[in-house]
Amino acid sequence: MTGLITGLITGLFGFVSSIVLIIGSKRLGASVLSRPAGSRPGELGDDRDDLDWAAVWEDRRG
Amino acid sequence: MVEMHPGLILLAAALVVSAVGRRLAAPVGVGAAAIAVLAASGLSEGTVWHHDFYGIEVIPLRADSLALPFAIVFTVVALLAMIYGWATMNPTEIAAALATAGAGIGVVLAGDLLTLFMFWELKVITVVVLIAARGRAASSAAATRYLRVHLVAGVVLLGGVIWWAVRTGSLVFDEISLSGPGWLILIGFAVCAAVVPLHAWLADAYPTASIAATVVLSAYTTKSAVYALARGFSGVELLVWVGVAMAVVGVVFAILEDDIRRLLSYHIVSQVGFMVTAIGIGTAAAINGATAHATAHVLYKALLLMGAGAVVYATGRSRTSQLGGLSRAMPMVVVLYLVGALSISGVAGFSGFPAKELAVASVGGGDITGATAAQWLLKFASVGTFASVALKLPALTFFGAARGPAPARQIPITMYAAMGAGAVANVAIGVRPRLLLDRLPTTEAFNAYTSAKVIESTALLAATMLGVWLMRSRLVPKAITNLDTDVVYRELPMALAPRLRRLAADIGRPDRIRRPQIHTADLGALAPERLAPGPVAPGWLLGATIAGTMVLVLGTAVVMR
Repeated sequence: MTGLITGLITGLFGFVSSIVLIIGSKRLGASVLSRPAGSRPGELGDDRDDLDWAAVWEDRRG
Repeated sequence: MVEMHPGLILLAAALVVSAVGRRLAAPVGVGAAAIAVLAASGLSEGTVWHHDFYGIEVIPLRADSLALPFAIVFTVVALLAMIYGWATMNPTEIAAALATAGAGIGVVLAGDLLTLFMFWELKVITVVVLIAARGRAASSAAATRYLRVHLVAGVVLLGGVIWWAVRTGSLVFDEISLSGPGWLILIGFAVCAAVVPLHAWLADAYPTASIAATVVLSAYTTKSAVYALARGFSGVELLVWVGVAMAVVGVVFAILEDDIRRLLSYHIVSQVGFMVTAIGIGTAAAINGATAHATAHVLYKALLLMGAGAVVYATGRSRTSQLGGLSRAMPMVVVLYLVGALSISGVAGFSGFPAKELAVASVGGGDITGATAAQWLLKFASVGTFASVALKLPALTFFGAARGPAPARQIPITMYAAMGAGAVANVAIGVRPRLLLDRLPTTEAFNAYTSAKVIESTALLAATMLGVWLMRSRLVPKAITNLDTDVVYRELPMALAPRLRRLAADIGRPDRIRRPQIHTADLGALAPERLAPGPVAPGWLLGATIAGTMVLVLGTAVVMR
């Protein structure tokens, strides 16, 4: 019985947490901490050149 | 039976790979890693090698109950990575990967601080080569950044080691008190553990390496630091809250992230946070929890990154905003990835369940103020882990509408073999936790599979699934680049640069010196849409220098306190 009550409380916590986390992260994402991908060429984390991966691997294997 | 140092085997193999041709590099790598697994498994607990090094006693190998689990799992991941990268890694990457693994194992088996430091810095160099070996501008930049951050950390660590040796007259690596040199050593370890806010190097470095190199990277740098913190700083209460911050910040950015490998990299920060928290608690059960979690994490994170790497290999894309609908084209990858995702989420029956239960339970039982709050915050991080790794990433990558072209190539059988072996290991530990728990530092009676624990864990994850389903429209991917805490030192110098240049010019013209005026409009320069295109390097270099200086100043202030 105690396990069920604990599970219920934990489940409620998980439900609320997931909503808070998603809304909070999205708010953060809309802030200064992120910007559109590729807005600055060559920036770390900008992976627009991933489009060339297939060709790169072909070259390597060839 | 002759006992061999598994790290030295891998380092020797790296030299051999450097000498042999492309055709032999992969077989030598796999063979050496297999021998290293046997060597690590064959080490007897209590084995210690002593040597005299110009009058200094060094201990290149100390196989005790804390070091052995790390050493064994490090060799296993080296083997998985070598198999996984058989068809894709070039000889430079193979040699660097073997050397990284060897150095990482050298760190955890080192019995003295001098040996530890030598292997620690060797690892930095080999990781830099491993990242840069991909041959992209982005990977070279990330490798340079990694080098700068870890050189600063290395100098701090060396300063602490020398100071410690002078003060205590011993280099033996055991518990380190938080005196002056102790703080320096702690900072050196903490930077490598990617503690918040000095964690952004990780999310830049790991995903910019090649797909197999990322698997190698995920295992050694942060987990070596976790081992070092567990060995030297268990019970330091500050680590509890540092770890909690890592666990929460990591998942927040993972929810936000568009790039699948960066998303998984943020989860390294988060999961290492669980380990650091347990180390801060410092009880025998907590150190067991940290060790169990580190061991399981190395296995499931490797599997997750192998799955993500397979997607990148097949499609040439790594952003969820350019993926989707891949489940029909690569069903086996979906299944294998989900084994890793359920493991990291702590679902009963997978490796993460007993490991995470042990770590979180030990935190709740800790004798510190706010232990219960720390435990709930870790559960909050668990919610984020499940939401992003097991729900968001698969939903946006494997299911739903395709937002990019179909896979362009078949995945090599060696990739499937490595992922399959990783999945088997994760399921085996989940089903039979004793495979892991019996190898932990201390023998503790812990049963993860009680009805209460299973109900609680299942309820948490089921409710999370419901919450994520309700909020699914907000998870629609946007092509964004996370600046993370880099915003402080990447953007601020760039925003201030014109003012600083004007100020510098005015120094030579006393008649033109004027009081700086701050206009509220200038603050808008930090807004993403107003950032002018241009190379990031100048701001980055200045920012990295400022960040490094800040670390040194803060470290010195703490030491001199």
